[in-house]
Amino acid sequence: MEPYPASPPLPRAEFEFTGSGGEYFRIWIVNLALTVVTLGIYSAWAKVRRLQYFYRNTRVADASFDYHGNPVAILKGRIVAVVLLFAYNFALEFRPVLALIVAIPVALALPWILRQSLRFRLHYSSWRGLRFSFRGDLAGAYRVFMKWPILTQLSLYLLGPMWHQRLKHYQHGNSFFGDTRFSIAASVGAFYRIYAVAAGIMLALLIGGAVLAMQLRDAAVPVGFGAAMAALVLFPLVIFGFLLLVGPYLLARIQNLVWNTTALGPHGFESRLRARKLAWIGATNLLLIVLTLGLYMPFAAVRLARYRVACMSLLPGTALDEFVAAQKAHVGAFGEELGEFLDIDIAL
Amino acid sequence: MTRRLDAVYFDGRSSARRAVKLHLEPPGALRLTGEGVDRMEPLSQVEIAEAMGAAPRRLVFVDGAVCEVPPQPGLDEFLAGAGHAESAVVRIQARWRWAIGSALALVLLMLGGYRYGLPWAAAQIAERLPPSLVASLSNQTLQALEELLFEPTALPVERREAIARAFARMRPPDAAHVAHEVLFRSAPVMGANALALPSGTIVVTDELVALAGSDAEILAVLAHELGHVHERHGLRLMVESSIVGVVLAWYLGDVSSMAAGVPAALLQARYSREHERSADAYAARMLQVNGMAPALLADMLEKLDASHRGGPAKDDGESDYLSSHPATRERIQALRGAR
Repeated sequence: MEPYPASPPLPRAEFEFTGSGGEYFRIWIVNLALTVVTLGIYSAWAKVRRLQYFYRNTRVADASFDYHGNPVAILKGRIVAVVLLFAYNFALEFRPVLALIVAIPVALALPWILRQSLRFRLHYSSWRGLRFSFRGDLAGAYRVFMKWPILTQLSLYLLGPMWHQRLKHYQHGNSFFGDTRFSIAASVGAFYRIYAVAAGIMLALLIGGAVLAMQLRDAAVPVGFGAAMAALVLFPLVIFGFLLLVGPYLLARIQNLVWNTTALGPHGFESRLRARKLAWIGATNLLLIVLTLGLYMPFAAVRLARYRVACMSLLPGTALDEFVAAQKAHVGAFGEELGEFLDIDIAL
Repeated sequence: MTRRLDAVYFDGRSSARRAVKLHLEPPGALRLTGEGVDRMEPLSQVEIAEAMGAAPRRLVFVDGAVCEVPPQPGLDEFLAGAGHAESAVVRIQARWRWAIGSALALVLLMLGGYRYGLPWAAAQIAERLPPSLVASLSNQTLQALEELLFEPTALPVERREAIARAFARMRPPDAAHVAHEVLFRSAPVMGANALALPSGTIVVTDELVALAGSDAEILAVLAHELGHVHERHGLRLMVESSIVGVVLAWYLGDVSSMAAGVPAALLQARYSREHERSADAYAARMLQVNGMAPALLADMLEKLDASHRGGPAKDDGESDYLSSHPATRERIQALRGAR
């Protein structure tokens, strides 16, 4: 990668998020009510409205993003995904052999499904009137979504950071804005360094928790009670430690690494997420969501989006007016919807 | 319509950003003028995207060009003049009153759905479940019970066969025959009890046989359990808890675990008061058509009540049996009243 000039020829363009919690709360609650009234059918329209709210309120260089997903296509994708999942779950419960018949083709098709999901998201996103697109090939999808996960398992997760690097290269290296290709230069070593620190934090938590638990167990309390107390301390410590320390650390560092090494033609990006700030937002959001029985969720989503967007900058290499459109393509929503129902998030 | 709006125009072919003025040209056309742009388009060919909070409004042209109109005074009037009307959903989203109204409506819907919609839907589904599925579910539940609670019966085989034969000879109250099978098991933890699985398998504990004053009383309990089978109470409960499970899983964001709790739910299932009353009514009718007194079941309920009261009391002094049978006295009175 070429080093950036000491003073960029053009002023950096800051990303900003203009949405507000109150506005999004109203969209969210109306979405929820209509989804319940229509027995879930409205959820496709709700998804489009939700994404449009976040996309259109995200701005950079005097223009907003937009989401063009078609609710009817999303609904069809959702119906297929729900039918498949119900078939699988009920088969698993009552006829395990049938479950295999459903699961094996889905597992084999999973890389294709995930590639479809990447394509759908980008093809239906735009900025300044031009669409994004994803043009990764199927062979690449089978490498990052089948070969590497298997290698990672076999290596007892030692190859995990390498898989992550390959995944980000597949994702960012095959994304386009108009006819201009994104590129990424994040090295394997950089991924390993981040994961090593995360593993260190986890280990420190485990050791600290174990020491604390042992002291509690040996404390002069009735037999059995001490051990229960120890378990009570150790278990949440590890879970919350992961949620509040390791999770935000990985999110911040990986996103920074990926975007700081990503370029779009002559233009660069800068990402300045801070793990501590993310952890604070995550912890307080979680607390408020629990205290309000979920009503704070839309406010929490806006708060997180505002911080994440505000930490991004675009570093223009030339004028931003020179991108040109690419041929439009149609992409079905099935992959995206099944991916969503299988709870696979490749946003990181 | 003389007002002009400030907007930004992208032609859909390049990312070049052009500041433009928007104005309406009667009849029914939109005109954009600005840096190198002079475009006139019939309003019918322009899609005005709905309002999204304070985000810029988007005007989309058929060729993919797009205009971003930032919030500014006169915007709504301009769009109204262009013939744009917001959809009902957008108008609802714009007002706090409506948003809070939908939140309340949501709560009422959930409560109403839980109270009325759920039992109705469960009854409909329970009616249509294939018998092979019902049999496999019941088998799983029985296996779990065998492991957790049941031990082999200590009753002599003649006694068991006598009871089962006597029950098989009884006519059901309706024309419909309900397939069933009576099993005997010892259950020291559970004590005197009987339970029905959706497939028609009725399990009677040795403890209940010992508690009964006569075989007629055992038959009365069996008739009550057959009522549960006939009305498909177990299946309905299972379907209800599955639906609740799916909704909860969705709310908590884990759709994949939805079917996992089904047999467990069946194990923990407790019949509602309505279910117990309707099984009692079924038993009363069955006893009557066979020339027996419904009071037999009442006697048995009294004995069961007493045996569980005397059993291992919980901290709050109320036995497990009573807490799941809150209206036992009411049921006994109803059965004594049935003639």
